[in-house]
Amino acid sequence: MTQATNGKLTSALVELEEERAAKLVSEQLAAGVPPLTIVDEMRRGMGEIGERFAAGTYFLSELIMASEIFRAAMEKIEPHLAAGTGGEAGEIVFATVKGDVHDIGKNIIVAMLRGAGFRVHDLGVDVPVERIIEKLRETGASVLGLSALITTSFDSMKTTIEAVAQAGLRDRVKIMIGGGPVDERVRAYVGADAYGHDSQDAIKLARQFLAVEV
Amino acid sequence: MTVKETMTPMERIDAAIALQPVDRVPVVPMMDFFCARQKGVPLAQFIRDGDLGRDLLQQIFEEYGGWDATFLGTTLNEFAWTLTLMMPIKIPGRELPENELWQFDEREVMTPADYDFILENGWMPYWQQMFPRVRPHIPAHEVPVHLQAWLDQAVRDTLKWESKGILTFTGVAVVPPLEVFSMARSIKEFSLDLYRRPDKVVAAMDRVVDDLIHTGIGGMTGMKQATKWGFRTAFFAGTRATFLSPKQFDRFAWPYIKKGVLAYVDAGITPLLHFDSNWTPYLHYFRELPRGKVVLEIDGQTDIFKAKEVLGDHLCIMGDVPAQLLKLGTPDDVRTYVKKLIDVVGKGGSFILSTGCDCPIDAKPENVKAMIEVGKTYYPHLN
Repeated sequence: MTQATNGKLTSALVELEEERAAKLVSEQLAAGVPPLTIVDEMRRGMGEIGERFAAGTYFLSELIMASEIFRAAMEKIEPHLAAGTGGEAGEIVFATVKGDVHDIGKNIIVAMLRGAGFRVHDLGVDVPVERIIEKLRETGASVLGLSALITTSFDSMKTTIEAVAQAGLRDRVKIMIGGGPVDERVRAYVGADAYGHDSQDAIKLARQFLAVEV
Repeated sequence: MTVKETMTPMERIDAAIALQPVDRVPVVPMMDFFCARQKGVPLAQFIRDGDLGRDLLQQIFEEYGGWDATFLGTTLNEFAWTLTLMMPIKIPGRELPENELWQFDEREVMTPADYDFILENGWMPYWQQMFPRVRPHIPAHEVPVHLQAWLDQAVRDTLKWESKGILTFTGVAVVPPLEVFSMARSIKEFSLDLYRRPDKVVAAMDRVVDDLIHTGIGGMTGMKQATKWGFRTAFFAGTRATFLSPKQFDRFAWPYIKKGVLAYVDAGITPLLHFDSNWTPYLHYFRELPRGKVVLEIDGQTDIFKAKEVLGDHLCIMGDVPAQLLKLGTPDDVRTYVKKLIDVVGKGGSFILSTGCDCPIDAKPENVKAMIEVGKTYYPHLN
């Protein structure tokens, strides 16, 4: 697949060259390069960006820029993809819990998970428990990501996770949490399966939960 | 174990800031909404009624045995904050239920075209243009009245604390251009601006930086004239620079932080760098600031032990009992953590014990008491 595109797109993304990446995507689509090949190229780039972030050479503004390039490219590519493709790594429902309107961290994590090939249903901020349960049922997703920035939201996370259990979904849904003050103590308090500090943690956890080959 | 106190709270704080020996660490927790929740007062009322806010804080202060200096009772004032913090806020009793904690409502209220407007017109016209977007519910002509009311409140509170011999630690907010623009643009759009129109961002920052600095100095000077001691430090907000790569940090963040700090120090004011989020990768920069003239206040996300290692001989570090520990830990967990802070970060002085940012509204009172009690009684570094 790199033969078709020579890895130029991956490199444009990794170097955060927005215009060049957009141009390459358009050119490749016009040249008949299979859309999934282009998506793979982009994902390789997102993977490299994630690794640079983990190594401390890329920072959050770089993740934000990369996510934007990726999002714009996917918008162009998606009409060319067969329905149902593009989220092979598995489905995840994501939300900032009821009572909390912060979404900077969540948005970065969602974008990076998409970049890693997951189909993420982002429900936004201040999300009531009922909507989360409805979405888990509707999609059959087996991973739920919850985000919170303020301490009062820990109780909201706890309530949400209890409600997922009451709905009979807890056995098939793994739950990961994140946000500024989240640590092991918070994980234990709310009853989640795991917590993470950043997008790389989230990708690792989602892969573990879904047993995706890395 | 009891520490024998040989210094007044003010001497202790001055010594900690100036890197001089102390009899124990100064204890200056950031308490506000926690007091309202403890006293069963709805947050909407706490915000509306400044005198009530101060009185509740004083009650908690007395019940918990006191500490070394105070923050203002209601740290949230959407009028004062709009002077430099260009971000919509959801307020209890308005956008939120009466007793829910306020939250920033981050969204794009400034457009890329506003950078051009700033270049052409400068800070004040920009501010006037932004105000209705950030606080659409407040008629612009009422702003001076509200601002004056806030200033009067701050003076009244400070005088009341002073009458009890208590120093008001900080009040006036100072914000570097990066924080102003990234709040108004939203962190996402601002991050994209750094790639799409970096030169324009820098030009706009250069255009407003002096006005921002002078706003803060003016406020500090006014407080000093209207009260006995004024505010001990100027509250210098910073969070968002931590999103930047080192290259971006060198261009968009650090020069403006440094310029602001130097201007304050020159004016005889101690900047309290209230720097939430994770500053660990940037700690070495702070060695460029004047020695013994600055307080770096961190919130539990920056590695405070690393900060001590890098900066302990250069500036006073303040923090950082984490919010989640105060809410979910036991008093013993808190005691253990605070002792570790005092053992390591308190060694050699230059440390002020505080909550990491605000004391969480739902902190356990026994945990807050444990933090204060250990801070005031545990100091193994004499001699």
